[in-house]
Amino acid sequence: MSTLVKTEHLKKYYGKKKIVKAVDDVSLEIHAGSSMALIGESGSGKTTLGKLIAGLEKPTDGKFWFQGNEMEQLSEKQFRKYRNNLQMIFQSSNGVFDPGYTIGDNIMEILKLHEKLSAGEYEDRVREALIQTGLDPDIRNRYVGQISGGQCQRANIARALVLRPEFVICDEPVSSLDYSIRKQILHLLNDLQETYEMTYLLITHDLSNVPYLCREVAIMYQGRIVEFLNHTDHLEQTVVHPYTIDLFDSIPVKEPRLRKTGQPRSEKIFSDKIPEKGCPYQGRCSRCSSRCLEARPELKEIATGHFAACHML
Amino acid sequence: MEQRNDDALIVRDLSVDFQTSRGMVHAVKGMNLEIHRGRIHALVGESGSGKSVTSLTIMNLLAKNGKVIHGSIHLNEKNLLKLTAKEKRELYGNRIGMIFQDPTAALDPLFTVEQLLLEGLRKNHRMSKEEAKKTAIESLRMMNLRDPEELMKKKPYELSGGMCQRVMIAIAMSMKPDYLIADEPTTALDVTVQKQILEEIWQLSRKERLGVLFITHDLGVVAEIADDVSIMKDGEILENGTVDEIFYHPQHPYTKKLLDAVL
Repeated sequence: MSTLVKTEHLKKYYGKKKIVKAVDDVSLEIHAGSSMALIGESGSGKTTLGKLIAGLEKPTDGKFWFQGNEMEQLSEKQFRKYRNNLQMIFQSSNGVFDPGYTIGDNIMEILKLHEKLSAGEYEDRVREALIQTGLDPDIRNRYVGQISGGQCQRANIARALVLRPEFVICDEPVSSLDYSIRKQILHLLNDLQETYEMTYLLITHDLSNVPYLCREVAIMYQGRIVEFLNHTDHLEQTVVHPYTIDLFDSIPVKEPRLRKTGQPRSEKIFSDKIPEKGCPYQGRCSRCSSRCLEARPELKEIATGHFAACHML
Repeated sequence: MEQRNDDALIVRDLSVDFQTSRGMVHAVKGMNLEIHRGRIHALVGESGSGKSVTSLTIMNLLAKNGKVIHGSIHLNEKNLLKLTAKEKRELYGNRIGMIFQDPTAALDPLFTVEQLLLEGLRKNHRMSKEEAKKTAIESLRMMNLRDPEELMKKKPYELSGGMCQRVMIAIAMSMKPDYLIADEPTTALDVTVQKQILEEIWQLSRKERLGVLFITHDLGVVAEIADDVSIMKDGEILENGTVDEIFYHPQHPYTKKLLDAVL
């Protein structure tokens, strides 16, 4: 497998004094044809990392390569050439389309920006993209306000696919949808990947999406990757980092007999302070020791293809 | 002090219509619901099914174009739909509290946590400033918040989403209500924070004998904390039952479909 995306010590700090470390020293590789999940809670930096890779934000420090090209070095014109190979699907699907244009015109506009085709060919490509995502091609002439949330999210995916990208970043593709539609969209993304051999980066806070779509998982906490696995089999039993374990433990159960609410618990008082030094998870970790308060743990390989950043392992 | 007995909050044959530019919308159609003290009653449905309209009707907070066509909502002997303004002021907040989905929108950013907490205590419970402050700190502590004294000086935008939601529940609970209407209180939160908030609400229902109407679209949350469940669709309740009945012996095809859609 060839490397499609590679980042090295990628950093993005916000604020005048660069005190908000949204992405803090992230190095990872995404191989062509693979699918990686990027998991984390709000504020963990997962969306910022996605935007950096999509070229929507400039990194504060660090490098990243797409198809072997270092993106920092490219001119705007060269960058645009790669941009159609690299698409992003956003969470809010109805914010993506201009309500004053039809769905078809919205999708076609992107196509026109990147490719020179005849009017008929443009229509065919839009039609094809709509059919690929399981939509009735007649939706081409409707407006955003006239279609449902599930249809809109499908159209959103069609918009990303019309350029036939190799790499798609999906930022919370199903979070805004009702449960009954979530499964359909995840299966659709899965089918599309198999048919067109695309590479996915799935950004989500919802661990239950992961097994449907991804072969690799990276868990982020406060701008850093704290755990990485190159497989997703028996994920819940395999993970070792205390944060990942807590994350799994927090997923609501599927049926009342498995209920965890109301059981005896540790008396950890709730606080959301970000520590100045040491392990970022110290304030919430049940295994925290004196070493965790002093030094920041680095990622280390604990089994083949399984990395974690924790002193206590 | 008014005598408090164990009667339930009972919704009988409630129908609510909305007058819109496209004609009448029947948001709630002949709904029956009972919320008992010390139990958590989950009202489940997808977006647009009428869950929130139900809760707003109970709280007498319906928009101007909304109208109760028939039915009643009883708490003890009182019909909540036929209260005078004075009775409403006495009842809401004191007996029935409410928390909303988006805590940052529900807390006024111009006031400190202390001001937000003390307003109700001073006006409704006519407490002295010291007494109110003591009660406020106590209710913050009950929500497992660190340094309540320090927290009282902060304004909502200085707090994280999870903190805000805890503060909102603390405000509702400081009035010692018998019932709490919770409209998607954890939907906007991370799973780790959601777990903690669910735990707090469950503890309150057991320790304070709080009756909770918990509105949600997430069946996982229902499995975690509910005692009773009502499944709602298009303004109607399709199925009622205990949480075990709904999960292990669902009767209505729509309930089965919902359960199948859980990831």
